[in-house]
Amino acid sequence: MRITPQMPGLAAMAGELWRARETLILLSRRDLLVRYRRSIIGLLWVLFKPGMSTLIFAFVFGRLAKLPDHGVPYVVLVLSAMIPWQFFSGVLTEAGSSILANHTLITKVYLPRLLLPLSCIPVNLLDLAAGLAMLALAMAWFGCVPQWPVLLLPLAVLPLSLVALGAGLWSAALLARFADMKNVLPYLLQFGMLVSPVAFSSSLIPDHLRPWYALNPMVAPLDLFRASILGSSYALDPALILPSLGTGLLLFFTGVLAFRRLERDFADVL
Amino acid sequence: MSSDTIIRAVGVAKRYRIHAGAPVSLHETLGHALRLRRPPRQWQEFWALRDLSLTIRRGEKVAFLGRNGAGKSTLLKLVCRITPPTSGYIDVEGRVASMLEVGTGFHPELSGRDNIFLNASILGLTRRQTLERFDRITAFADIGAFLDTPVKHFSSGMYVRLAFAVAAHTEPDILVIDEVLTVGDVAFREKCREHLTGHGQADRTMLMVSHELEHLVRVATRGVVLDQGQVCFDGPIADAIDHHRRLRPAEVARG
Repeated sequence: MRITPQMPGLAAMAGELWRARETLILLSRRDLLVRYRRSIIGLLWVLFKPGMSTLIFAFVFGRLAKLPDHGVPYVVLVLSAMIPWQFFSGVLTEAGSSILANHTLITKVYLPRLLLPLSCIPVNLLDLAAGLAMLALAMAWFGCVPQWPVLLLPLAVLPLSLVALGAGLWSAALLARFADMKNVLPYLLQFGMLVSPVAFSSSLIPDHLRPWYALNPMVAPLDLFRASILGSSYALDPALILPSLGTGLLLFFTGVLAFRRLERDFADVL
Repeated sequence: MSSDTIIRAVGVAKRYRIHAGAPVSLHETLGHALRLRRPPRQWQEFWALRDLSLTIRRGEKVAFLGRNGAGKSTLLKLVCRITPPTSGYIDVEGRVASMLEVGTGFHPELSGRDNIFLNASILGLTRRQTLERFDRITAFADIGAFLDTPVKHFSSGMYVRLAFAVAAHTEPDILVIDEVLTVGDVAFREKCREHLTGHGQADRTMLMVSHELEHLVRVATRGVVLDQGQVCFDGPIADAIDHHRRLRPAEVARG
């Protein structure tokens, strides 16, 4: 093997990741064990935040503002997008801090650096599953019966994960380089949630804003979650979904490229 | 590369940029980008290695000597791929394992067993290889009944014994050691040295940096003295140590 100043090719990076898959599993397992070992009610804490936000949004936007609810309880409408949003937010935050949190794995040993943001996915998938279980309980409580599209739910996880990982790679690369990103991130997340279909339905967006709205990479994953959970009452608009999937893919690929470019300096700047 | 050459560095240079004054912030970077101006040069350049060329054969035990900042640790980091060279290249044959720190990747909440598997994997072993070595690792570390206890409850001695045991049993083609042989108590250090010089190590190539010259004499066969990022002496370890002492008698006496 030749060590040179040049960046590795994408194929070489993929091969290296594949050879390191056992390390990825062990790193993910470490994060899982650590998150749930110290607190018995760890899972309940994971559900507390989206649960509280959902109740507040349902009160403000459903009860006070009386926004359209597609014939389902507003709590269920919000929760069906809040749970995937929580996944996005979790992956973005944890992948973003993964380089700083594991700095000895960067400065004292070589391993494919992509493993660190990647290893944040499984633990957040578990949280996602727990959130969906909470959603199922809420739906049972309100007597909502899911229709056949709910079977397609696993398919919605793929675009969600790609967008979350893309954003996570961008924030990991930038956080290692610029310390002030840490202060910007919470505001970006808060802003992102307000311009995404979490507290309201995409049907509310007026026609002249729809082309812009469709550029938000989170519109497609969130609406796909909602449509599969709420069934025929929540119609998907391909003019929103397809451009949004496109920007999502763009975010992912540029995230990989940005990470590859900046990871070369990680050991020197940490 | 000839068949017994395991590392060949050609014209290797490494530049670090040391930022002077305030650290670079996103605000400043964005500000310069928006005004389409090149940022003022706020850093000083420091060449840790300059045009260094070196060939190492399989099985050689090479110690790198030189005063602080001569480029010893930088060279080891390049061989481990922790940081890329600024120019030049290094050809490396086989698996490299780094011992720049003991217990890299150890997590205090995980048990000794979990940490063995994670640490070994980070150092490049497959699960199967770790299983094969598992009994030898635990025997070497001598942690007995604490195998399934979170390592945060370990004494510091047990912790470094376990960490060293994992690293010492990764059995790479090239083992890179930076100052880690000062861990543990005297008896354990002796055990580590015996392990590194014992039988079965003849084919293992070792690159090491240590301020304990007495230790280097016992483990290394070849000494390379670096000065300002370049090789200024390369030969048998005893002669290299003499050269190193002549280079900086004051510092050696202090160290």
